[in-house]
Amino acid sequence: MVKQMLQYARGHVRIRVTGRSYERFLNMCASHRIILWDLKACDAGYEASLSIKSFKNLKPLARKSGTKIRILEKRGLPFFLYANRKRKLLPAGVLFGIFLMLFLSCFIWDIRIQGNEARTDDVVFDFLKSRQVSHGILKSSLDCKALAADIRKAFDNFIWVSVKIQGTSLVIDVKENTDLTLDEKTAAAPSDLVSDVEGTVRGMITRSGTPLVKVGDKVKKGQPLVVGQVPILDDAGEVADYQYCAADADIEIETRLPYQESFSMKYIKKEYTGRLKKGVFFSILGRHISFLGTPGGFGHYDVVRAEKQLHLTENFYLPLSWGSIRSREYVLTEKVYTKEEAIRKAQEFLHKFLWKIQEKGVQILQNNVKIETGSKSCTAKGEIVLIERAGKRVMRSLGE
Amino acid sequence: MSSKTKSLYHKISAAAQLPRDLADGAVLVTVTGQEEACIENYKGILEYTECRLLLLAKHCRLEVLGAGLYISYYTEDEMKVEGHIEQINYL
Repeated sequence: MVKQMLQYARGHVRIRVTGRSYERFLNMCASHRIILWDLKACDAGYEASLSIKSFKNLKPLARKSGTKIRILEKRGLPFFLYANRKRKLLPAGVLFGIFLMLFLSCFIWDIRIQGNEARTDDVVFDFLKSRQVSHGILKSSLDCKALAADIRKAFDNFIWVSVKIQGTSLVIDVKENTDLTLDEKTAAAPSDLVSDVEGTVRGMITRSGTPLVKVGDKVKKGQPLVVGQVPILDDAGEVADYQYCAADADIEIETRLPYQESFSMKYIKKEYTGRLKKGVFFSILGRHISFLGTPGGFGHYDVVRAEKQLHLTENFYLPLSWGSIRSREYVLTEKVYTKEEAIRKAQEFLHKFLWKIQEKGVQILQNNVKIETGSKSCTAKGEIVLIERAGKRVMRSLGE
Repeated sequence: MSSKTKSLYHKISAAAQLPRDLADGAVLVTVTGQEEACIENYKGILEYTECRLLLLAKHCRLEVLGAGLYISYYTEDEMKVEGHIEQINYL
């Protein structure tokens, strides 16, 4: 492919060699380092292709070998340009295209955020927007270092941020802090652990500090669990001094979480009528032009757009996008849940809730939620018994 | 080169484990399937038609017989022959 492109760019001619001793002509070409390709024997001689430069050196060889050379075909860019030399608009168009490409390459057309999990792309995009960084911004107006510093400041859990410009793309690489252990500064400073929940202690492993509660004790919110001071006893068994440290312990507390969720038995259902309108759209420099997709006569409808952006290389995005639009009509009808449907829906809500709290690392011991359905509403009410890790760090001043 | 010098030259090149195409200028033919042959170390073309290609090498003549023979490129050192190759003879 590359070879063919080079051949096209340099230009080549297809010739027919006829005469007395064309084998001699071929050998002379080889000895004069004239490269021939696509050499084919035909009725009265040979046909071969060679570059324009080589063709200019052929005359003495043809005379020596007594052969005749006829040009069959001229191929390549030099011939194309020569044939179109009178078309002034062609080079003007090419130049304009190059100029346009260079001009457009001065802007950012693609913003990519990599490495973020806890903070979604949209959140970061909103922040970028507030800093006037969006698609179409001039590359020279961007200060990558300052932007990286701003992002680090705005998002606490981003421990490392890199902002770089690749082609017309702005690539933001971030690394989130997934390690929840204490940082060195906090770990070294004396601190206590106080309860952030109310319940009964079910398990306790103290690594540093003095525990104030034991398994089976009932604790209230804000009650100290482990203090960051260890008494140093003298020979008489009396407290001589205290050694201060950062309290560290795994404390499991059984808590009761009330749960209540109710919803109306009546609901509005979206039913698709089957009417569909398809269309296409183009977007140039942020302006949208759509064809046929506008759903005239549709009451309610969903619009699904599939968009593709033109890019020359992986990172060189241009402000031209296109895609398809599909509008599906629907009607809203009022319906009433049956008893089974209502129970199923209430269970779904409950499962979602349990799944959400389990993600935080709690264990579910008991689920005492009861679902009751009435004519107007369905209610799920009860209590969930959990075992969760407790302990909120409170810094303490020495001698406290 | 006399026969004595020639034999000494052969002995030295054999001891140095030089490939024959470098040491002796032997023709090098690389055949891929029945459709393609790459030929190196030849002196020139003696005859070329659609069914016969005769090449002059340093010590022999190389004949390629077949149908629709077609030289995809041809330089001083190397050529590539494509087409249906039936025989390769050393004459």
